[in-house]
Amino acid sequence: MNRDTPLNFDFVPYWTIPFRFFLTAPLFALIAGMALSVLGGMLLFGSDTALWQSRWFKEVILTLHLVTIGTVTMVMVGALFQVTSVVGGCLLPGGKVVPASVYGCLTLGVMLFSIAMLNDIAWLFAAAACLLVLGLMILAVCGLLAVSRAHRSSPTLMAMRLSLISLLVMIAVGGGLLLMHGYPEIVGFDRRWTDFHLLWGLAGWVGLLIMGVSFQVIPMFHVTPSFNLNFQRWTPVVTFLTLVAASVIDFFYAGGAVSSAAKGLLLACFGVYGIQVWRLLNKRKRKIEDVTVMLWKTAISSLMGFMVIQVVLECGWFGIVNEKAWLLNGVLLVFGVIVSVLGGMLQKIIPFLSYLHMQRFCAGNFEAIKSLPHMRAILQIKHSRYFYRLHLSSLLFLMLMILVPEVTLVAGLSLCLEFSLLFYMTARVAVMVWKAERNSLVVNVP
Amino acid sequence: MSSISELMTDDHRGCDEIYASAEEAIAEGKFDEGLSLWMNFCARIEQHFTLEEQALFPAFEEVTGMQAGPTLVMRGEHLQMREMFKSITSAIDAKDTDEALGQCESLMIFMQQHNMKEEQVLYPMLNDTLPKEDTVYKISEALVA
Ligand code: HEM
Repeated sequence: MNRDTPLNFDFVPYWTIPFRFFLTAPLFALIAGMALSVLGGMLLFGSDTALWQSRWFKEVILTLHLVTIGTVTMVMVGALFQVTSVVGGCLLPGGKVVPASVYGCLTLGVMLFSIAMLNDIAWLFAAAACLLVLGLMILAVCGLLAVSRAHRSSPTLMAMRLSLISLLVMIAVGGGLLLMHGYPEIVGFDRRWTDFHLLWGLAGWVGLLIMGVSFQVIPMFHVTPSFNLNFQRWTPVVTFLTLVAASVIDFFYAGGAVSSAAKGLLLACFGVYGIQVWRLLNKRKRKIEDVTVMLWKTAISSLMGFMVIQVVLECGWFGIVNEKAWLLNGVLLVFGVIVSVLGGMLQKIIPFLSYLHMQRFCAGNFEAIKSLPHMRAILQIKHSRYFYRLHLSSLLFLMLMILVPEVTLVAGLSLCLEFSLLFYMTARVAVMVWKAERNSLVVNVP
Repeated sequence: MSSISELMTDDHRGCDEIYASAEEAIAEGKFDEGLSLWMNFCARIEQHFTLEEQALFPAFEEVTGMQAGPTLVMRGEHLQMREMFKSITSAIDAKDTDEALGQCESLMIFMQQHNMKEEQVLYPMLNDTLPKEDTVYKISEALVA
């Protein structure tokens, strides 16, 4: 690094920046839960609704994106604003305007996405596409700028860079897919692009970011040995290159053996990574109960389940080639793997961030710092435990729902409970930080 | 020969291990064992802080002329952690499991952040600026485990 630059260790974004994303994320999952409840209710008590018959049904794409954009991407964006300052010593450029516009575009964009899917309104598809593409493009460009300005390079920053590049690819195709739904006669309707999009979204944007961030946070929060340095250096790069190859081969030779092999290789990258995480977590020095560790293990187990089903599907064994298996696998990957990991990270990031900020409000006054709530008073362990149990129940019911659609109502209600709790937990902490800030203003201003 | 950065980072890990065993004992309600492990941890950490504050930081400040740079921030954080040690000691003394574990968790988070800044930024700078052999000798003298 440049020795003349004064080191500013206190580079932390204003607390409402990450918190607004963390507060909104559970709400979209809650809406997804409500949507499932309504669908389930209609199935049980009403008309002849057919649920979970095909991946192409609108309700699949709708609830899926309430979660992947509204919850998953929302949390990841909030975390990105925070994490670049810790691992790179740099902030995303753009002050308060950038987070506000990314937030606005994302929130409004998902809403329009849902309304457009429900009512099939062409211009709404276009509007949703514009907002989502705009918001996430701003984020990706600012993120890439911040990473390139970092004081030093590290595997985490490298993984972030690759993840942001994947975001750009994913979002470009995603916008195109929305237009495809709105204006099929102009754009055409080619579903090879859907598979292209989902590979870049899941393996690239989400997978690589989780990977990079975990290199830092697993040793830090759980006191485990570090990931092997060569492993950290090479895994994100190899995964990214495999992703490029797999997505292109799959586009041109879908269904062929080469395409299966390439996707298998991509899956293997994450499999090796998952095993590595599991091994490190087993070596952790801190043996006390930790919901985050349990959620990591849930995620890795789901990943293994996903891999088995995927192999069976690709090889066509047991004649299981139907739509149900595809949907079941979607639940395992999105809810079992991704939502578990992010839920676990939130259990650490939220108390950590709030403690950090409340400490700063104390401005070095030791007496004031001592009177701050401790970590277990910020996020109560019993709440985290309930969250974990509800998450497992949601996961089981969602999987069951695909096989037995009558369960949809129960799955939806479980989701509603889980994410109402997460919202309550997050909001409680936000109020705590807000009060601490208000008090500090009263004390510090003469 | 290990570098300055490696030696100091290893010492962080050593402290983490004692910390984890103290925390485990408290979680199991073994307060006497917990307290003795905890005091052991405090002594190890104090040794580490003293080495930094009295030998490494002054040497770094002299070579670079950076009096108000990273070392100032690190000294401030040491002070803050010493205050946190005191509250944790009294919570263990009072056999208040929830209070003790909650405070431990706060310290853990604070300390890991602090270590990360040292390991990723400051120690590499020490490697670049301080005479290696001499400093490594000083460290191994000071850190008797
Ligand atoms: C983390 C972010 C995202 C993930 C993980 C993701 C994942 C997916 C997946 C797995 C599918 C396939 C659904 C199926 O097979 O039934 C899909 C389809 C789709 N995605 Fe996304 N997506 C993300 C973001 C977006 C964004 C930002 C947009 C719009 C700008 C978008 C637009 C679409 C559309 C329109 C479809 C339906 C395509 C079709 O009907 O063939 N997605 N997405």
